[in-house]
Amino acid sequence: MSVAASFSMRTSFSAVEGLPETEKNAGESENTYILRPIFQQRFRPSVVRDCIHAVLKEELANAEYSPEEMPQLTKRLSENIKDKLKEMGFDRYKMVVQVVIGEQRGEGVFMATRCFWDADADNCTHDVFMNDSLFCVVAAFGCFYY
Amino acid sequence: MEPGKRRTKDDTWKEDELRKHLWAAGSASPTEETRPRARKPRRESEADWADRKERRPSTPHRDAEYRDSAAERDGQAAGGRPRGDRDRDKTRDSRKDRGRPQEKHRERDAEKPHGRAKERERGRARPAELWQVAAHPSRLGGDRDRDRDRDRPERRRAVSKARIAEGERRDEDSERGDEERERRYRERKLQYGDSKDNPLKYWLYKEEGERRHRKQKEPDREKKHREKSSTREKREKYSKEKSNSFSDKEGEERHKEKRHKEGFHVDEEKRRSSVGKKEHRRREAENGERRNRGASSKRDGTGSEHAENLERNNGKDKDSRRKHGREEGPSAWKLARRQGSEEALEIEKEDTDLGNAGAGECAAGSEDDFEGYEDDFEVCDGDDDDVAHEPESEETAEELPLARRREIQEIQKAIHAENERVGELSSKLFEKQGRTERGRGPGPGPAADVSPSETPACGIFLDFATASRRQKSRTQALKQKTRSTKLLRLIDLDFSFTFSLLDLPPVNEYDMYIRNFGKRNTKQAYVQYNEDNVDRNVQTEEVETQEVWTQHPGEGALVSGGSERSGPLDAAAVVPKVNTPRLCSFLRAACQVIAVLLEEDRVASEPTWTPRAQDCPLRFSDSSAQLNTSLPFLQNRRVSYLHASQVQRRMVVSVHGRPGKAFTPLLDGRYVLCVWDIWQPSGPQKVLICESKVTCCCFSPFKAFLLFAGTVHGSVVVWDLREDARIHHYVKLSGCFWTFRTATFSTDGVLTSVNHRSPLQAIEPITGSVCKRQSCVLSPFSTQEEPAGLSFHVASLDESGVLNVWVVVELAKADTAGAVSDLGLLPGGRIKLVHSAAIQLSDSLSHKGYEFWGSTQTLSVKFLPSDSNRFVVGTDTGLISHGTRQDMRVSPRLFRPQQQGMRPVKVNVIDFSPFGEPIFLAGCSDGSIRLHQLTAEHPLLQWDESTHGRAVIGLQWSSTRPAVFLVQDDTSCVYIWDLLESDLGPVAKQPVYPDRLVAMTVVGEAEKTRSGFLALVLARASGDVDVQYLRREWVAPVGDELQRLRLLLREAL
Repeated sequence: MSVAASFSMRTSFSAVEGLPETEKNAGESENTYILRPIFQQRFRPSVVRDCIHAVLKEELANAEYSPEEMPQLTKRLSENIKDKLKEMGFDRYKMVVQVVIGEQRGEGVFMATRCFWDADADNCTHDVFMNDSLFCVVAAFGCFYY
Repeated sequence: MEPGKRRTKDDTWKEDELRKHLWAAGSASPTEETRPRARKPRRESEADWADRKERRPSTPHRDAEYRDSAAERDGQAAGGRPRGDRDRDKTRDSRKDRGRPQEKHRERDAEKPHGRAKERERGRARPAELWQVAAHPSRLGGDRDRDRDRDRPERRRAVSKARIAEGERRDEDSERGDEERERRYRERKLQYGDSKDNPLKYWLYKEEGERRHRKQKEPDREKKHREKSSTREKREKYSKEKSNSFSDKEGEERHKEKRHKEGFHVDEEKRRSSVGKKEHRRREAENGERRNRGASSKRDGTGSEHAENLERNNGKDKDSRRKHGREEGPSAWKLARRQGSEEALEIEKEDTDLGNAGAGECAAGSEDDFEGYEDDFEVCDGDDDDVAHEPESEETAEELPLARRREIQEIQKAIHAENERVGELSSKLFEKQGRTERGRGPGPGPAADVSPSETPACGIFLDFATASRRQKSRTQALKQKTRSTKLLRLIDLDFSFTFSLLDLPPVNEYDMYIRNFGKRNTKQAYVQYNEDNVDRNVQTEEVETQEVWTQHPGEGALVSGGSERSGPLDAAAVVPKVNTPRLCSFLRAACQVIAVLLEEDRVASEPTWTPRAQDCPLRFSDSSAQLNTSLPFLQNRRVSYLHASQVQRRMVVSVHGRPGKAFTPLLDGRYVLCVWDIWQPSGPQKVLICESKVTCCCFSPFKAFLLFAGTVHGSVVVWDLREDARIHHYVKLSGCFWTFRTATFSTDGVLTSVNHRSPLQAIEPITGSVCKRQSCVLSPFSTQEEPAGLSFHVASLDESGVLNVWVVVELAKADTAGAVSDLGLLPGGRIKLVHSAAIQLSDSLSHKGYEFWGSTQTLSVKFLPSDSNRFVVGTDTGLISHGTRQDMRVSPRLFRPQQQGMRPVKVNVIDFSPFGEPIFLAGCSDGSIRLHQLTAEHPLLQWDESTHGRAVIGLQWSSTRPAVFLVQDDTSCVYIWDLLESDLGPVAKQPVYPDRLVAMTVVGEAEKTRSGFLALVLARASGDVDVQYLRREWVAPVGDELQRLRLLLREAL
């Protein structure tokens, strides 16, 4: 079987952190760490999963597996989901969205994930979409910036 | 790439490890970080060596010379000084080599030609350090270094002073240096992280970025190199002998391409280089002096060295000069280069219209990068190195603690590592640069001379924007680093448990097949809505039906109908209620009537049919009829016996004997019984056959559907007249089909223990109920059924006085296959006889002293109509025995004739009065007729001579008149008695002749109306059977006949 996978993440640290230049000096004297996310902005797996599910249902409603299109599709999906997640207001979270699309031909597939993180703040969720020709696994990770 | 790999590895480090690592990074122990990088670069250096070697295959002597020169230099140095000095010098040198690579780098970067000189001095032991150039950028100090560059001379001085001043504070310095190194390391790391593959690439990338920024292209770099090469060439001009090696070493292509461009650069470059050279020389001298002076002034003992250095600077041979250049290089050349770069800037500005302006700029840019980095070293490591250097130069080795030395070694190692990493070049540019340097490296003496001329090529252009940008990112990276360090103390990182994202088990082959092809041949054929309610699935509505009728052929206007009218009415009209039994009985009777009518019609139409013309007409009969005994199977048979049913008076059975001549094999030798209806004389109703001669027979009481017969062989035979004709023989005789019925049941051969052993004389039915006959005989059309079950017995009497009583049993179901247990039963028959009782009459008759007569023969038996348990038996002794079935005593036991004494007189016939009078008549063989009362032993009346002594063989009461009876004697004479008219003799006597009378029976129905009749059935000797209807006077009873008869009987007593 063939699997097309795509990562979409915000690669630039500075862009995410986005601390103004002026803080640079002040930051040394006092820190601005938030050790725990604000409750409302906490990464909520169920909400994220719903979001992912909606996107998958919309995009893959009648998708057929074709090896040529899948790379673009995974990219589009991951970007799409990532953008949606960003809009959901998980402040200070770095989002990582992984999309894997594989063809359904009766082969066995096992996917697992493992993270080294702060389990209090970080979280992840995943959703699986399947139809007759393909399966799509979307995993979304939220890493908190303290 | 190594750094990338390590980063990933770091990610999976344990928290503690990570923390330790970070701490270690903080404390800047160089070993951990730098060591891993130490491998590849060394390989690189070796490769370089090899490269260098192969690049100058034509000049192997150069290596030797090179070596020689180094040795010479050492030797010279040693020679120029006392032994201890020399040793010290050596150690210092070696330490310098080991401990101050960064400085060397700096120096070399500042001005490559001088670096080459240094290289030369250091010998081939450190060829790899040539490549430090690449590593330097990663250690760039940043803007502040560049800032420092501006006031280089002043600062330089200050630095050197400070360096001297800091001599004692070496420890602190070293620590600071560590810090610095750590910082740089971090920066580098970050930069690496951000950069593509490795530091070199990063730098190349940056450079390219800058170039791009300036809208420059690849040729620029070449120009830059060309510039360099041009300077080199100039250097070559200075050093004639070196030029060979240089050109050899230099890649041909580059050399050429540079040369061809040289043309228009030459002037400018020459000018530049010359200016730079001059300036360089000037500064070199200045700096060197200043530095040496400073050092000497401050520290004792170093002066000599510096002096030596100076000496070397000014030295006679190239080695010394080179060494000097190297020693002086760092400061002097930096200044020079800075100035050079400034000059280059100016020149470039001037030459903007020229084609190569960009090249200069580019070169300046790249140089600037290098320079900035170099500056960094100068500031940071430079301190350290200087600290290391100057103490060395001043105090030499013995003052250095071992730990210190170790540290230095460590640092050296780290530097090695860096070098090696830097050596990992993938870009052409770097190679070019490297080669340039390398090319220059081996260049021995002239380097010093050339260096001034190179200054313009190393002209520096300061790019503040990129620098600030770089610094910014660097600081940010630093900040992040500290941030992460602090944060890691606050938070716990742990491994999350493993999430299983997807577990899709493989589909086995069968499932796959089913998924693909399983539904191929299936079809949904049935569905049940409401599965739990299966019993409701049949919801068929009542089928609407309509009945119509039609008639074919159509005989009227109406040939069909029945459809339009409403159902119920139609149904009622069309399907009338039919009482099927009633209809059957009606049809049966009607058939009989119609048959009789047809028969009468036929008889009437037959004129020939008259009572026989030859016969004398019987006087007492007014009409007669003849039973059709001319049937084929009845021909030549004599009728031996006639019997009329007591119930159905029209039913007569005639027993025909064997035929005189053979007719058919089936019937020959058998006796035939015919059942007649006297109204249908044309043919018998049933034809029965029997194997043996039938001596007596009787019908079943109540309804004549059973015929019992006794045979001469002592068997009792019964026919069931209801039987289906199909189980009997079916013979077609002369165009008509006749069914010859065999006996339904016969005791012949079975029941031998109880069966009769002598010929049967009489057979009589015994009815359980008293006197039902009268009501039963009323109409031939009577529809009443026989009582349920056959509640009657049959008694059979044989000659030997055995009276057997049989129970008639009707089987519930016929068995056409025959019965195993009932051997006498006809297959398919339903009637059988079961022996009930046997009464030995001979015992009761034999006593009384008549033993001499032998056994008494019994001739007839009659049961009392009023009491079926009692019977009278006629014997051959003239006596009539009176008995009961239950062995009760009856009186009188015997009915005797009026004559006393025993006489051999057979009592042939006994007949009870059918009108209920307790009297019976007995006809005897002596011609006497006795009228007995049941209560008296002796007869009421006895007529001895009425027949003139002829034996009476037939005697029967009239069924219509109580006082009339008919007598037949053996001379074929019929007598009619009417007791009311005459109690002395018969009122009429009719001889029958010529056809003699064989048997006679009386049929008749007592009827008030005219339909009553009395008829004599006469069987003639010819076999004919005719029916003589008596005249009315003997048929119609007079008014009170029964009363008068009783009166008469009372009078007779």
